Amino acid sequence: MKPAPFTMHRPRALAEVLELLDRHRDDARLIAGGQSLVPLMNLRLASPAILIDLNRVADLAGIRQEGDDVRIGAVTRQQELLESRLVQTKVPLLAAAARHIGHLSTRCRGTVGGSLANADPASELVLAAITLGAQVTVQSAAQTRTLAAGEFIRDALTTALAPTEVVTELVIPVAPEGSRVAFREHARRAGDFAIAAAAIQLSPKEGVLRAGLGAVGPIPVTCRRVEHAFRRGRLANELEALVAADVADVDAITDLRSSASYRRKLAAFCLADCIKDVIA
Amino acid sequence: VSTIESQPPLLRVEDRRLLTGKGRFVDDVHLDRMVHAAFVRSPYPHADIETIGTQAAKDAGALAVLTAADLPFHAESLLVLRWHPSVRRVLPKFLAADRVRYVGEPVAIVLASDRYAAEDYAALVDVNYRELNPVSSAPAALAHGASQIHAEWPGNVAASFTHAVGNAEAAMAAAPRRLEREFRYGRQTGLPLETRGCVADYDGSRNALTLWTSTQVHYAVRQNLAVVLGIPDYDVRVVAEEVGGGFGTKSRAYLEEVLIAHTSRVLARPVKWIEDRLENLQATTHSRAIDTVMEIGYDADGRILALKGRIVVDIGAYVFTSGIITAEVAASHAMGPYKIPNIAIDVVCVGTNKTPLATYRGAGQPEATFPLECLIDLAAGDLGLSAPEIRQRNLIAPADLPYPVQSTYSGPCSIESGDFPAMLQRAVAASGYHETVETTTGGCSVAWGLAVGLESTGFLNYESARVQIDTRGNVLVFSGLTSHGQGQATTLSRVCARALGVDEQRVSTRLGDTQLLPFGRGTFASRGIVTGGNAVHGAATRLRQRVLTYAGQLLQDDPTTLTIAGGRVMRANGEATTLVLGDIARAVQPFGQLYEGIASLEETFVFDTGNRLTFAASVHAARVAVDRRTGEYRVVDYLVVHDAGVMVDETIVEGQIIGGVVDGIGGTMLSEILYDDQAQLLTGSMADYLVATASEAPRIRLDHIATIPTTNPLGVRGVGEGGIIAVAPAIVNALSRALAQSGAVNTQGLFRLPLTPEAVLAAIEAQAAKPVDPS
Repeated sequence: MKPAPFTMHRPRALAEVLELLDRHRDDARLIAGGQSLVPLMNLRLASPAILIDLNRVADLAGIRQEGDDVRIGAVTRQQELLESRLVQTKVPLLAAAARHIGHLSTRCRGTVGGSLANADPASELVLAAITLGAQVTVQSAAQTRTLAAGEFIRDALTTALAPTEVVTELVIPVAPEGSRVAFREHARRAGDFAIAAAAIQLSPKEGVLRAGLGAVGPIPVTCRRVEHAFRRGRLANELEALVAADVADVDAITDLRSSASYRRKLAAFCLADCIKDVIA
Repeated sequence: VSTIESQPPLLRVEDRRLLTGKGRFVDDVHLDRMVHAAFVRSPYPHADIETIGTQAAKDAGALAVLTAADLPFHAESLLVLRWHPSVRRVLPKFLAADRVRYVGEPVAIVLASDRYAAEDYAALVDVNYRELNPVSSAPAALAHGASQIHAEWPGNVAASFTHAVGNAEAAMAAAPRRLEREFRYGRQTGLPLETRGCVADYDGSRNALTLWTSTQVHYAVRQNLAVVLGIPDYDVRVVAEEVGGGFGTKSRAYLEEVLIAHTSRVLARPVKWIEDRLENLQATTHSRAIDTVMEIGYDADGRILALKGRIVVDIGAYVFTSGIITAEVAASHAMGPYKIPNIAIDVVCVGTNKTPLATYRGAGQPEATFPLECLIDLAAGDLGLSAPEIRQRNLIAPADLPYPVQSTYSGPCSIESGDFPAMLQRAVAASGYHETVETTTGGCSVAWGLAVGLESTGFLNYESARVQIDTRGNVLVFSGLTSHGQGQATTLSRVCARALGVDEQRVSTRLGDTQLLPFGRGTFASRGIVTGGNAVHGAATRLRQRVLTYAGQLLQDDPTTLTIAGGRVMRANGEATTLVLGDIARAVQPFGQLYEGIASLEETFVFDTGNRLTFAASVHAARVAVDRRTGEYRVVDYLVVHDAGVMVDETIVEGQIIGGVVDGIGGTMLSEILYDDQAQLLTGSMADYLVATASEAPRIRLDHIATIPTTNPLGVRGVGEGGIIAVAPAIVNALSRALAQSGAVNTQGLFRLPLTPEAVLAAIEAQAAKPVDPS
């Protein structure tokens, strides 16, 4: 379990990163926290010739509010989401989700950009981003693009990121005043990959409920029937049927952790429980 | 001062170095000119090897690439201590020559200047395989037309025998009530934090070998190296100074140890190999993997009349050097701690294209306890008896002692001491056990479950120790044991200090090195305190006698009126003499006034168990909360009452029990080595092979009773396995009770370990679909 030989670049500026990507393209992989890539390299399931280390790139660090958005730099550690006052108060769902990511030691290494770019079906961060309609900013030497999280994540472990691009920021709309959030997941053990996860943000003044399901299908999804029903004020009466309908839409996965049918059952409980958390 | 003395010490003598990163594990050994090895292992479960191309790896820079054809000892095999007579013996080869039979079987060794390069070159070794149909499970192996794994195993049966006591056939036929269920104990492994690994340093000029290795049995490793490599025993030194966990997976010599030693001889350089986690899950022996169909016959009063069963063990692709010991233990201990007069257990060990099976903590005892204890609960339910009551009617009681135990793996033995009924009573009282199902505000059903476990300890006869006193009165203990978390140095120092009459702080214990003593065995099968503890006790007791004899000569007094306390010779009236132990040591050594031709003041002792086992027991009470919607459950409270006899160090004993319970919770809820239907390993990392962590561990409370065994002078019982043996049935019985209240579970569905929440939910749903539960 030792990686194949590779060359590592440790740039300090984003421009250098973009230049290296442009030069090496498919031969290069970006590394930040390394919590997913390093095990793959150690098992030689991934053998990139070149690694570009983002850890020293100051342009990619930091959490800040800009207007109605909270902008989170790609190399922000997952643990920082838990500890940031700004995240706790302005995008509380993200803090609630971050609590379920791995363990303290992996959260202290793993990054926001890494979670997005890895696009694991069970990623709590991706679920929160899709639920909240967040945007992902990506950059190459040629251009900067901003994509909706739902467009950025294409499939399990697949994103819209080109070989020349790097994720620079996650942009999340500030939760409206008085919003209530809930995040629940089921896993075999605390900190394991989720079998089912649900995320909710209820904004009473706006009359908007955002709901998402993760870890069930290849990518996290928003729960449209639940969201629409809430807007029309008929969620409480038809909760079970609406949840069931949204869950039924998900193309559930079977793997070592769970069958697809058990995932659906857990997802339904998880989503209904989250809704009760914020409505009660 | 007295209050400090009455407290147990917070630290074991090992803890300071272990907790400050100063432990010396195998990977801490760095030698001049050392090179590194990586193994080429089979990616296929069953295939013929057509060719092995090593040139590309050599051209790229490998220092050596060795295959079976390069091994002068290829025709030999590892040594086996004992075989059950029914075993059809097919041991693994050192390296596979013409056929591979499980994923992870070693095919070649590659040597390079570092491990990274060794893995690079290993990837260049070009093995051409021709795939054969794999056998992926015991039922598939026994099916008509199944692929044959070895010519020596017709029908893929590696061993079969019947363990019989009384006449089970007749007694079962006559039993007024009978129950039969199927039980499955999944394939698991001990998963030590430190994987296997070794550093070999062969000195050609002396034909001498030193091997640092992560093992529980350094003397067995030495014997294998000496015999297979043709080096005198005394020129092979095996060191296992610090071992990061064993759990039975390291209680035998492995092929890799011989191979790495050989490569050091070939290259005339030290060689290091550290098993990585993938190799660990592929190639370190697995365990459990037992399917049981068990029938219990009983009368209207709940007295068990007969037990009849069939055990099918999926032993993998070869019989490893521990033979079929877990099958033997599972059959021999089918009766548990109960008076069951008639037993017949048919055992079949079946070959599959999987990693060979050997021992893991409990080694057959958890597998035997699970069916029995679950069936007893079902019988109690059938008769309307409480779980404690039906057990009290069947437990071996003090009046029944000695109660004979028929085991295939030891000499004639018996349960000669103990008070199981009192332990059970105490467990019920201390835990707060009751049989009412409660419902939490969160909608969970909560109930208690109970199980009793018998633990056979002190297995494998003989252990040796030497105790030596230096001229300053320091005492050195040498032991043939190894230590992998048990704190043996702390325990053995205390045993010696008490027997000799010195302060513990003056005693230091050395172990895990074959240079220390001519003979030893190691630590496994809950034998450490029984065999190694009594060896130290024997040596220290003899040495004390000698010291007093010398003291009598020096003081011109009757030795029987003297004693030793705090390292000083005392008179019977409690008066101190001027003599301390160092004075005696000086007196008997060269230049001393009592010199008689000996070099130092010391005694060696070999403890002989007479091939008897020392039985320990424990009663487990588990409180389990289950969510009926999801099948998710957790252990919310746990209590163990156990009998360790005399506890030399209560904290260490408790650590062993608590560790065992946590291990058992993982084995019940989480752990399974999985293969697909093509016999490919699916659980090759710790993301997929799950064990219990701190978040799954509930509060675990302990209570002791101490009855003193007559099998050994210290009056101790082993404690390594009692923590795990009865965990699964205690949890499953609790779960079964919690779910049964609403008539809501098909219990048969709960008798498969590990028991996933998904399986629990399926059992609930199966019952909902079926109006009447026959149990």
